[in-house]
Amino acid sequence: MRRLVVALSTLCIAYLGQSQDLVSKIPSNATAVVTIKGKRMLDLVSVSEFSNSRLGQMFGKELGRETDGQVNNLEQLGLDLNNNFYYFLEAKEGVFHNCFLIPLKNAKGVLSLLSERQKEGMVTEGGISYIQDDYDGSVTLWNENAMLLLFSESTKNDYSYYDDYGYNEPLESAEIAIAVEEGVNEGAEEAEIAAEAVEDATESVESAAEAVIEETIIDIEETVIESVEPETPYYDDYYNSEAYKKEQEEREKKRLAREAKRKKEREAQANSTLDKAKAIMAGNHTNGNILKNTAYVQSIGNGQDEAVAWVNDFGRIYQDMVMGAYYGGMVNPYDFMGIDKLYNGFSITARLNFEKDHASLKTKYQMNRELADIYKPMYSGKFNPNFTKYINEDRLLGYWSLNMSTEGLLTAYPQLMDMVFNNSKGENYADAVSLGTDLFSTLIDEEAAGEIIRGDMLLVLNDLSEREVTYTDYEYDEEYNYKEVEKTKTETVPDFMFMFSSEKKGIFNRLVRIGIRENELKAIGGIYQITDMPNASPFDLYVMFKDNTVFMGSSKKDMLAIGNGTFVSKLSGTHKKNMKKNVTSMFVNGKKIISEIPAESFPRELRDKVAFLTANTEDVYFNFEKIKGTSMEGEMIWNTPEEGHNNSFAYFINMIDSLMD
Amino acid sequence: MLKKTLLYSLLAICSLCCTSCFDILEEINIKNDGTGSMLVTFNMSKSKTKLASIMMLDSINGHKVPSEDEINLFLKDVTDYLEKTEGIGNIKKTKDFDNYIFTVSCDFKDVEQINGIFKDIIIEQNKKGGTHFSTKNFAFNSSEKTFHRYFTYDDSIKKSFNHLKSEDQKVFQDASLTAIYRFENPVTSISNTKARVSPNKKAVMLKVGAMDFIMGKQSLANKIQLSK
Repeated sequence: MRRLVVALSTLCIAYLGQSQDLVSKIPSNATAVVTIKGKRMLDLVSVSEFSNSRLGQMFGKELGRETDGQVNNLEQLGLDLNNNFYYFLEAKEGVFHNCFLIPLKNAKGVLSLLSERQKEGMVTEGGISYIQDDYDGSVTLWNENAMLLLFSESTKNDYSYYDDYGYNEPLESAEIAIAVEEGVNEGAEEAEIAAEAVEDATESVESAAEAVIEETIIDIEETVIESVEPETPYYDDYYNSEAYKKEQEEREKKRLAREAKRKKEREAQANSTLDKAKAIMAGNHTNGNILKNTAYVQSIGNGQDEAVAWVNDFGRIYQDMVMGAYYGGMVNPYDFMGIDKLYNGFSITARLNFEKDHASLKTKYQMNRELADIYKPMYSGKFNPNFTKYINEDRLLGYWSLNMSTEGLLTAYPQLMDMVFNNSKGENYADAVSLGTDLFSTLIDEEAAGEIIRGDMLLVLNDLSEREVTYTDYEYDEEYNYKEVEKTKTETVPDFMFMFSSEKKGIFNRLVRIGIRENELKAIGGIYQITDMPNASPFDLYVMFKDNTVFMGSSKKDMLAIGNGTFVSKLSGTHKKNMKKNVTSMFVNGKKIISEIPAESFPRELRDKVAFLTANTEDVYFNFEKIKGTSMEGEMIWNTPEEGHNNSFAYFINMIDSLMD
Repeated sequence: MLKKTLLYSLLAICSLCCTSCFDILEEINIKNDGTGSMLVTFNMSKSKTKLASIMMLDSINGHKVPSEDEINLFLKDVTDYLEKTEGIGNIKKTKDFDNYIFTVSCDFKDVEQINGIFKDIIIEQNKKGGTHFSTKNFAFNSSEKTFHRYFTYDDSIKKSFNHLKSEDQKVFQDASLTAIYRFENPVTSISNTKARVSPNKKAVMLKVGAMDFIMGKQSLANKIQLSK
């Protein structure tokens, strides 16, 4: 298998190498890459098909408005739609570079998108042109074959702004104290009393000055002010004093110096972003391009997907984020938790495919071995095959199955906590957490808990059924006096059945006995109705225990049929397999749901489209597999009708078109 | 987490399937001396299945769903506010969470004092929304024996409606507003052609569909002349 992957990857690299693919502009250390395969998308829907669609026409109209009529459709935009489009993220030393790479046929379209102001700021040198945003330093750079948009963001917090408000300044308390003293001596008739107060305060200020921040001084100043008011408005004199003016001048000088420094840093950052953009366009990377990254090459597989998103090693992204975020990386407030243990080696690949009769989104999560070993018991649940006996596919609107292990979950959770907190920097917490998890494991009998709720469960939605409900209306006599009358109407509500495995029938029986005694439950032929439901509850609720399974359902008929063994079951092997082998599986019978929802429940503008929606809606599946090795895979499949649609991508455009009417 | 997802899936389907609408009933009894009583009823019982589903959710269509306690608090605020309004007394409220019917009633010394109840709210709305709603909704001239229900349509009603999501707009499609006015003297004429006068000539009823009201096709405005 590995050989096959390597062979296919080599083919893919060879294919990419031959074309003018922009992948060579992505550095090998990129942490995320998104690829949209232009050619594959065009094979599904051509440019003219898109331009003739309502969506395309709306897009063209918007383009025409933005470019004063110079560009009126996708083709005129000058994009090389036969080539691949990319987005990548590079996180390096606390700076996140977000870059979009767009292949061009020519740069004419790009120029028409620029405003007059942007054109004035445009620089052309050495075969490339670029504009740079004054505010955030982002760069739009292009040549005749490609355009890139680069947004760089530093995670380093600039704490120097606090200095502008005096929070970080060393105190000059003696000066302030003297100024206060002078103010008091000059202005006060009761100078002696005031001076004493001021001197006391001055002493406090002087002693505080060695260590505390200016806020303290302000507090003390206020105390002094209060003590001499109203006889001595000394602060007016103080604020007009030479000492105060001098101090303000000094402060302003420092603020300007800081602002100049910040400006310099911003300029350096902007220059760095521009240099980075130029390097990306030239494909100058210290360690080569992304095709030298084995993890990426393996992720792109056979290159037959319409779009691929790949995020590599969340641990590294976390490290880069933390690096600059807290005091230049000197302090990490979360380092008592080994978050990196959760993220290290954790990567995601998602592939989007549009086939003839379905669209699919496949995701693969790769985790580190330690984490995989902890998670594995959680997802090692056994699915109760009895569940599938209580489904009739002819009435099925959808289901959601979950196949976990309660015992595994209760075992894994303390291990996970221990792993996260067992960290040299968090030794104060590690012992406490370890003690807590040990106590948890001692007090909780995982096996016994797993017998009460095993962890496998299934929710089934059946037909939407009609239910008669009462409501209050008014009847008026001839003099318009009215009285309340109770009327009835029919509402459509879904019938559902929820099942979970349990080996503790005794607990269920005890709960039932208590429920009946407290008039919360009513026994009906072996099933129990929960009577304490809100008057206007959209459904009734019945419960039952049978064959190591707890049932909760809204259909009395179905519950009674299950109870007396007359339930007619029908379920395809595909559904059974999906429920059994996956951690979770979801199915939505789109056509049936739409056809059964009453037309009046749709928004008015959609009511005449119900038949169209019914004809054009198919099933949706979502499955998430159990852990295999160190990876987990999930897949969402959206089935689409073949009639009237060339493929599933065309289907989505056609649907948008129809709903835009 | 599981319980919540399960509950939400079911309730979301219930709220999608069930219909929703409401009726507002405004009933005013006026004596010849201008004193009288008012009763406002907000009846959502036709939507009770949907409301029961919605009330179990935290939010729907992006709007937070108020809890029973929050609705109770709102009703208390309304009655507290009425108690502070000059000339308004005998304030009563009823609430029925099984059928979702809420009423507030009060007596007034002069029908114009009802205007005072809404005046601040309307001024605030006009300031915030740039609207031009009149702060004067009711007037009774005891010497001329005329009763006025004022209402000036403002385009902002339609605009606000158009800004709602289609799912939210559905709520108004079958909703209605009903106004009933009762007098001691017989009614001799009414200005609103959609209104009806009772056979004994002492009551006037006007029922307006919420959509007609929102689109400006029907108005609540009416001038009722009583015999002198």
